[in-house]
Amino acid sequence: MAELSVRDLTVEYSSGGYMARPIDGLDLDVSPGELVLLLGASGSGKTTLLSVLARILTPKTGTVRLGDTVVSELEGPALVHYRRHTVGIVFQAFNLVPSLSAAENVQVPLRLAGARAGPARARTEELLGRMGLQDRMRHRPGDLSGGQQQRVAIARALAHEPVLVLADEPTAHLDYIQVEGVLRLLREVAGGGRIVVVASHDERMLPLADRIVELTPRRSPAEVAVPPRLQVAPGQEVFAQGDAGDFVYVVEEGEVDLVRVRFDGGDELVARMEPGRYFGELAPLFGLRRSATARAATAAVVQGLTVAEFRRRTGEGGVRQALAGGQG
Amino acid sequence: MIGLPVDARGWPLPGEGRRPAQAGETVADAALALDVGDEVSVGGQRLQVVGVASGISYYFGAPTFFVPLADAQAIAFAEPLAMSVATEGVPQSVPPGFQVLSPEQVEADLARILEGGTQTIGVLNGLLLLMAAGIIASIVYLSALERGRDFAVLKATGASNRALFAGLAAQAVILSLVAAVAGAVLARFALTPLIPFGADVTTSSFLTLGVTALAVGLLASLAGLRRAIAVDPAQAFRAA
Repeated sequence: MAELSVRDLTVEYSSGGYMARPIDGLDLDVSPGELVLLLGASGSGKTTLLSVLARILTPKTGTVRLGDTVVSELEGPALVHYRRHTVGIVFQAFNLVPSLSAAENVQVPLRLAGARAGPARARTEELLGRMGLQDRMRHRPGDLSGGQQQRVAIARALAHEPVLVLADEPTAHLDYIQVEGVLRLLREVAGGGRIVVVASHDERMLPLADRIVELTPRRSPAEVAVPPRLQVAPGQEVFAQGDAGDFVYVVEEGEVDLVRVRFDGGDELVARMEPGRYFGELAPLFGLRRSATARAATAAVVQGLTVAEFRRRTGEGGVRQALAGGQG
Repeated sequence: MIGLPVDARGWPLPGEGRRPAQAGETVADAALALDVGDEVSVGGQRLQVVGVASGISYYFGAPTFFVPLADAQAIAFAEPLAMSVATEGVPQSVPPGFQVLSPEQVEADLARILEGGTQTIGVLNGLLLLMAAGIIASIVYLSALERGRDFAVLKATGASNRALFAGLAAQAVILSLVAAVAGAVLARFALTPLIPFGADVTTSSFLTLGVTALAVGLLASLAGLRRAIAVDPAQAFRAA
């Protein structure tokens, strides 16, 4: 079975014309039979990473390798072959084709992989039987419960026996009884020597994982403990768009520009911060990445503040003000 | 009004009644809504309807009377004249001023009068075909618009553009052929009897319809394919 190796992976895309970089220099190694849990808040890059592993999204830099295949460089027929034979995907919200029955949905990847009708039917019956859906095969997705649809989606992802299974929020939309069944199924899938990568913000999945990849940007406690006081020269950056949000800053001397990097390469001035103004509140307050770059317009001195200190200084009004007009 | 010798060929077969046996009798077109036994006045001449026949209208619905030749001559010319003479066999010589026409030439001569009507039907035919193509293309395109997420899932699963085109083409061709068959059945059994003159949809028309439906279906599926190709497979990862 093949190993999955991700090296120095960076993904950028346009978000409303601005550049977003949800994944920046990620390294990851996964052995066959392992279940990896990508944990993080919405927007932290979990689904983006799954899209790159499925080779639906092309990374800006870095490589994804599965065994001998350099996934990140696949194109044309080799890419189609990879999607048809190597990867199985459990999509968020199931994404079954509503006009097809449960059995037909499972047969789609089999037929695309070149299986004949007879063997495809037999494999579908076997899989749906294993999922406890033998009496629901002819039902359309609209006639199935959420848990049943999720089991059909998992069966579809496994139908062509892929070595890499990707699951995006597989427990979303399910009640706790259905979640238990899905967790057991995912663990069983990885037991077959496959690599299973699950993206979720559901911490109930933690005990299930062999490895956890935390995608929400966080700094070490040592870094967080000491807010810096920075002297910056004109043009020097206090923080960059896409960085982890660690501190709130206040301008003590000089002026600081907040600029957004456009996807086409240019910069757009969002605001100029003068002495006494706070900036960079939202990212540390909500655990997000910086949505803008802070760059000194003149020689400046800025003081970093912890979120607690920022709250103490400004009260709840500071948070409300940050939401009304704050930047990254 | 068409006049024939009482014992000549060419009389229509009446659906009701009989053909005339003597002067003063007529076979009337069913489109005139007359009954056997009714009396009508044609050019001042009283005629008794002894038979009613269907399918004898001329020029998309002009109703006709078939009357004995002498009555027709009296009504139209007031003297024993004839516009044409039908013969069995081909005459070797004809009197000066006469011209011999074969049955095909007679047919072509009559069709000349129908040319305007035939062209109108051709134009209508073309317009209806365009409408049908537009409707089928719209259905396929709208259905492709609704199924953006399905296409994304299929692409993420490894479906090629060719496979998507095959699916869309199958849908459009089946739709077109079903519409063509429904149209043919309607034309043959439901609509033709409602038309107030003899209308015949030929076998070649049905064949043309089938081939056209196939072509329209394939062209219509191109509209849907454009949409399917544009779908980003990454959409499959987005929540509903």
